[in-house]
Amino acid sequence: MFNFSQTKKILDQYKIPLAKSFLLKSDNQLGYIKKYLSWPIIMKISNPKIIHKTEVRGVAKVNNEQEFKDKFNQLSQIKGNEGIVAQQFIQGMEIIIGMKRDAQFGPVLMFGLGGIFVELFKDVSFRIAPIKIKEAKKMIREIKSYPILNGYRSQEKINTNQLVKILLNLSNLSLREKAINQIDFNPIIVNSKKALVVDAKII
Amino acid sequence: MNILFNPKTIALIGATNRTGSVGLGLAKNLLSTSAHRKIFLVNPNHKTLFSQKVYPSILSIDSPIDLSVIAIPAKFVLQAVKESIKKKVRGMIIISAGFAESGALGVKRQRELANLVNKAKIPLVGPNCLGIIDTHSKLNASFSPTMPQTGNISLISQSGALIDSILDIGRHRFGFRRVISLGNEASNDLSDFLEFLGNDLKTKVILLYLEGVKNGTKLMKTVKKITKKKPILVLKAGRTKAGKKAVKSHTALLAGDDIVFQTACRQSGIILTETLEELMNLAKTLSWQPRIKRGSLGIITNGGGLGVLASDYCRKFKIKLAQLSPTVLQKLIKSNKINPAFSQHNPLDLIGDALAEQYELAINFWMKQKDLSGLVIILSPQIMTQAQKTAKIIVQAKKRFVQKPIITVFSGKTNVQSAIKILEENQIPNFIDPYWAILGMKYLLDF
Repeated sequence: MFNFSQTKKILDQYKIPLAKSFLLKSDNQLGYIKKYLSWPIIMKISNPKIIHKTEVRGVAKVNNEQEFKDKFNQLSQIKGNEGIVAQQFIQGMEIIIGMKRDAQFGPVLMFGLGGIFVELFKDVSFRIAPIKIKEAKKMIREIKSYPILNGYRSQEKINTNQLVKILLNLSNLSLREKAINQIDFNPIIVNSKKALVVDAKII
Repeated sequence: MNILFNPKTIALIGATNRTGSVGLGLAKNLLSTSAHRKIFLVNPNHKTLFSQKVYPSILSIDSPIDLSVIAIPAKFVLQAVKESIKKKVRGMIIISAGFAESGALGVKRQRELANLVNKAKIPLVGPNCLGIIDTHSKLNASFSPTMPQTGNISLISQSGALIDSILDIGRHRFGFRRVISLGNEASNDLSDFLEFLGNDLKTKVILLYLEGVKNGTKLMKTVKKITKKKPILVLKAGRTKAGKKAVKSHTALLAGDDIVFQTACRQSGIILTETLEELMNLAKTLSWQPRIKRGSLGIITNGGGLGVLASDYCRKFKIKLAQLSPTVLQKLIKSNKINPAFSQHNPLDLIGDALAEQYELAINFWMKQKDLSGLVIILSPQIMTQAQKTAKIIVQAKKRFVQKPIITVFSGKTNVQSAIKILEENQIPNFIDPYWAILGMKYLLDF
């Protein structure tokens, strides 16, 4: 599994936007963090061996300096961390976009609503890469919960163009980076303006 | 690849008269279709068979050979292949088993075989297959007990036994163009044969029976080009196999093998069928009737129930229903011949007392409506119904409106049997269940 800096590098390379994130080795980097991020901030462990960070209480939202310091100490107790990631908190809807490399058909792309939507309802759509813009748009419209993204009952209408871009860039990445077999961008947070990867699992 | 399907001269290596043997089946099939080609029998253990000279080796035949068909024990196959190459054959079919399907020695043997034919650039069918059939060139280079009648359906199968079933199901009903048993695909693979059939003007519909796909990327590329021109129907076995690999991401967990196959089919325009019945029902429809792009459907019935069922299926399959235009409606009313209680909309319910004449009026008036693309004509055998006469009228109408597909639902058994015979002899597909008629229309109109 890719570690923090490998992940950041490859997302950069393929123009897949990551929420502003920094890998911290100690809590005296707070001053630096304050320059780039604003409260609230998400703090989480960077630990390629742990697949579900929430299960080891490895993720937290902090609102001020004191909470930041407390959480930093607490998260540092977890063994095997390569550091603690501080990430800009973003308001929006959770999306999952992923890829699995199939032995016969090559990269299979997946799109769906994140959180319980993917886990319980399996409300997702698939395409085999490469895809073009038309197919990417269809993937988004195909899921049952699409009305939720499209401003159902005066909810915020989310920026699907940004999601289309991520799908196309992921298609491109999967075709070139043949050593990568599985990817979860879970979640991607999307709102009316932007879509940013918050957590990426690359195997 | 053409030479495989229309060779002038064939050498059958492994010809025999031993009862119950593959070599006997092949010899019989080849000899029974040999009017315009010459069959040479090869077997070092025989001097004559079927009152024909038998050669000890392909190399002892003094005429050039287009196709060699090899059906001998696996350990002798490579030698026969080398001799065939030396003889400069232009195509090869290897029936023999004992290759990649049977352990390490077989895998090695298949690799050597592939090297030999690839180097010699000779098209190969097999090994471990049933052979091939071409009804137009009258070639039966298989050990299938059925020689199908001529038609426009081509079949590619990874199971030989399924070919035997499908040909028997279709006997006296569907016509076939070419049949290919893939076997182990040592050199030419599924995509190669698909491409060949895609370019074959006499193939209108391609049926596939698959168990596994070797090169999915190549397959999708090939298939995308073909499905723009003609339909490909697939029946796939082994779809419920559980994934074996360790799965760590949500995507990998959800994108199981079957989902991937379904996605590939949808993306490349393949029609994925769930059952052998569905495969054969759709094959019949697509083989016999024309396709119209983005068409809209009319339904004529003499019974409310079947009409409602049909409209339910239209909704399920998202089929566009045509309007009954005011002009057509007026013509029907003014004819004074239709029961005044008729439905006046689509489905056009002519009421239970409709005779052949009422069907005739309805079909002819409505078919002239420009935006009506095709008809499903339902008939339930009520006490006054004229099933046979109505069938003949439909056959006549079909000749007038050649471009517009018609599927019938003469729903019953004894009372519609002879009517169905008339319809199907004229290539109007009939189904007892409206479900299959509407599903068939989905693919005729949604092309």
